[in-house]
Amino acid sequence: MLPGINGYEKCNGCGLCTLPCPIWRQSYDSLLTFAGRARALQGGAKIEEIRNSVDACILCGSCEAACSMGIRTVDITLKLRAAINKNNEEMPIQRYNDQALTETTILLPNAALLADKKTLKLTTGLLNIPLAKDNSQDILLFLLKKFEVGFIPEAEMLEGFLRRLIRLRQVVIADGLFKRYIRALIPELHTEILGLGEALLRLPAIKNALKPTDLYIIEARSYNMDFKRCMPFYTEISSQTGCRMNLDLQRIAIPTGGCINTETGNEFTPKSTGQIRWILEGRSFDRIVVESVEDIGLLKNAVVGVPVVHVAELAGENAL
Amino acid sequence: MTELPQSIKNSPDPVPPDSLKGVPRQQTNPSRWNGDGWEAFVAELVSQGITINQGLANRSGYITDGGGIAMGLPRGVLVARSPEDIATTLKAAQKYKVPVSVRGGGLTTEGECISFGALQLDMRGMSNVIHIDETNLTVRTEAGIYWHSLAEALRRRGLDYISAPLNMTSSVGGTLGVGGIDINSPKFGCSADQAIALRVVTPTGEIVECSEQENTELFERVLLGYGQFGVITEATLKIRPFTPITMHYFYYSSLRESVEDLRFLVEEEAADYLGILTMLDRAINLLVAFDSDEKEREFFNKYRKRIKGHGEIGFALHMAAHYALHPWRVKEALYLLERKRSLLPELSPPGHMQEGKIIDRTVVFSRAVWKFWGGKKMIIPDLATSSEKFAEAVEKGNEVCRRYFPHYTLYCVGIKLFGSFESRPRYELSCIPPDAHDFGYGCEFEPMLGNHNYSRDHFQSFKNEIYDIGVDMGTSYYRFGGMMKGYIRRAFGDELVDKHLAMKQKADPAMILNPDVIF
Ligand SMILES: Cc1cc2nc3c(=O)[nH]c(=O)nc-3n(C[C@H](O)[C@H](O)[C@H](O)COP(=O)(O)OP(=O)(O)OC[C@H]3O[C@@H](n4cnc5c(N)ncnc54)[C@H](O)[C@@H]3O)c2cc1C
Ligand code: SF4
Ligand code: SF4
Repeated sequence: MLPGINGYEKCNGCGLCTLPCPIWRQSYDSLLTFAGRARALQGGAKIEEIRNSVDACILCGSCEAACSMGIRTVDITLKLRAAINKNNEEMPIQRYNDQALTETTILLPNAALLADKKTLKLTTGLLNIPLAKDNSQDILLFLLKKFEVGFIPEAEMLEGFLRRLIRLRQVVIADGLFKRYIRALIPELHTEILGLGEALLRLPAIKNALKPTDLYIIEARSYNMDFKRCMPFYTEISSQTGCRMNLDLQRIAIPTGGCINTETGNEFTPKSTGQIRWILEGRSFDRIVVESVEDIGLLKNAVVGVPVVHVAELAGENAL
Repeated sequence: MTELPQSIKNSPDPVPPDSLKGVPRQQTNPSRWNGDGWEAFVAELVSQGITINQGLANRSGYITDGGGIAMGLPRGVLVARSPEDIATTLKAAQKYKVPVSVRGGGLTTEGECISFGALQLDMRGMSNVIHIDETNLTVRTEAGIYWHSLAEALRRRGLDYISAPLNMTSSVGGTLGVGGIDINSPKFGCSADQAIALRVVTPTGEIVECSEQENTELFERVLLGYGQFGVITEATLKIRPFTPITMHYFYYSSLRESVEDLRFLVEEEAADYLGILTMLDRAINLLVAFDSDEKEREFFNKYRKRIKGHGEIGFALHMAAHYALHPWRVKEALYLLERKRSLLPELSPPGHMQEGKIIDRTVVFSRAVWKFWGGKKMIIPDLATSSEKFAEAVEKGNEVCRRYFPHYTLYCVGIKLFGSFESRPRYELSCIPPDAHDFGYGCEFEPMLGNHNYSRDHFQSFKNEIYDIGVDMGTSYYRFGGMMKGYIRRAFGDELVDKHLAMKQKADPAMILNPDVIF
């Protein structure tokens, strides 16, 4: 048993989590999957022996959505990362602004959304949500970067930040990994926590603009790590609009790899090109709609002659 | 100590005494290979550019199979990447007499795919779909692929495989070797019967194409051959257009009646999918499903009245009356209600339903199997019988279950045969019962282990009692091999086993490929 890391011992080796794993699909090497890590640790392997596997993971959450034993695979992988990259233990945390928010809803963007001013403006306008005006964005971006290398702050460390969120009616979060973390800390009863795509799809103007000939690319982390709640929602959207989605037969979202953090990857990290090939293979569509800003460029590079739009753009030119 | 029969004592592969009737001590692992020649074997492969992974992290993933009872750590692992690598490896294995155990999904339950201290060949490294022929409805695929991954590729084109285990993580190659039973096997037969052609690496390292037209003998030996006659690296399989299915459940309080109705419906070819799933001895579920509305209509017009099963409401009333008269069985009634409440919705989850029809039946059933029956240990002895013997074998097996476990499930299916044992030699010494004509039947006996800690002896004694029914009744087993190796000789007789042993010795002089599975 590794100190502070548990859950992997519950793995029964059924392999269901291997099926959607991008690393599996690109390497067919079981040690690089979550099941491989879990079985190796069960067998007494040292953490160093699974370093490649731990670092290659893109934290897409597909394995967690698939797991027949309900294992929190992403938490375990993050803890393994933290244990391997020990230098992260002493990560300093920036100060946050503890002043009360006046809004009822906020958007917590990620770096890509912040950089894409047009989509950011459109999104905040459509959702009628202001961006938090204080320095919480800096904290957020700092955290998002550090999250992936296995740094998970204690809830107490973020107390002020969380205290502010808890008073809100709704928090819309662009980063799926962060959404998962916040969901675990904030009781759903008080505050609704949504992914960006989900929040936009709730707007009738956007949902009604989806067509049966669209291929809709869900942001995989946000969906897979919140599978029980998101799967019925997106199933409903797909059956109402007829659009296709980047889902596999288990209804798990196939990641584009757009979120890959270059700080953590290694030679085994799955390539976006392979993921996108897998998403597109055998599907016909005449427009691609994406939730994640990172995916716009990736898909534009992959398909010729088919428009690629952000889901916010579905509201039309004069939406704001 | 029971004296072994002379024929067994003298045979070149004597039956392990542990699996004989009346012998209390049970064997759960074959002996570990002594490692002679391993270093030289590995060195020769390395000199030819083939890496054997000997790290503990790599090897740990192969320590057991789906059953979780047999345990054996390989000395090294080779992830297969090409037939050429496999051929080189098998040639060296013959030379240095290194046992090679092949593994696909690893879902055997008697340790068949486990390497006990030698080389584990992981076929999943060859998992690519090579070509889908949408006109002739065939697919050529590498054989390490999971059926689920194959379905993923086919479904994008509105196609589907024909029949495969209700388990997403079994592989094409492993399944063609053992049979592969689906709930549509009454209509399409086992998965092995969907194979049109194979690429095989023989135990001596030749790469051979085989089919019903080419190298027929090898083709017939490799299909249902438990990995004894070669490693399947590629397969061409029949496929079909995808259809969502409409499922109906009929409920019985008599096991015999349900089994008789299953036989009746199978033999009348009244439905596209048929199977029995028991919840309690007095609560049995007959699954009847259809690919088309016409077939469904025909069933209701022609066959519904001729079977004894109740609909859900009828059965609820029937059971309510039963428990009203037997109030001391309230615990059983509560168990049944809980089972129904938790299991049935899992068989029609909203994300996998379309206008009342199930899409992705394998996902639905496989997830349910792992959720309700799965665990680190899965004990699933089974029997495969002719039509005439089926009801008796099922009842006897059920009786054994009752003595060993508080809760268990029986899963019964029909298997269509395509041709006779003469025209399809693959059926010989296989899961297809020797006296079956037109249809065979299979029943799995699956205890629900929950959080109970049973001893290995308890499990093994239970399995032996089920397998003994097969010996007594002259049936087969729809998954056999591994720890039940001893039964094969007793169930099929010396003559047939010796015939296959002679073929095996000819094909695999050092007897290195998948040892301890049958021979
Ligand atoms: C939860 C569960 C549910 C199951 N449900 C079903 C079911 O519905 N129907 C059914 O029929 N079975 C079922 N099984 C049994 C199991 O799925 C089958 O035995 C399965 O088809 C085996 O495939 P595999 O890839 O896992 O084979 P493995 O276990 O990897 O191997 C099976 C045998 O074939 C050999 N082998 C593997 N690959 C190759 C190859 N490429 N070439 C030559 N030999 C090879 C192995 O050495 C071994 O002897 C179930 C098992 C479990 C644990
Ligand atoms: S999180 Fe994604 S990439 Fe990482 S192991 Fe799980 S499925 Fe594979
Ligand atoms: S799905 Fe869960 S239990 Fe099964 S192999 Fe993966 S981690 Fe283990």
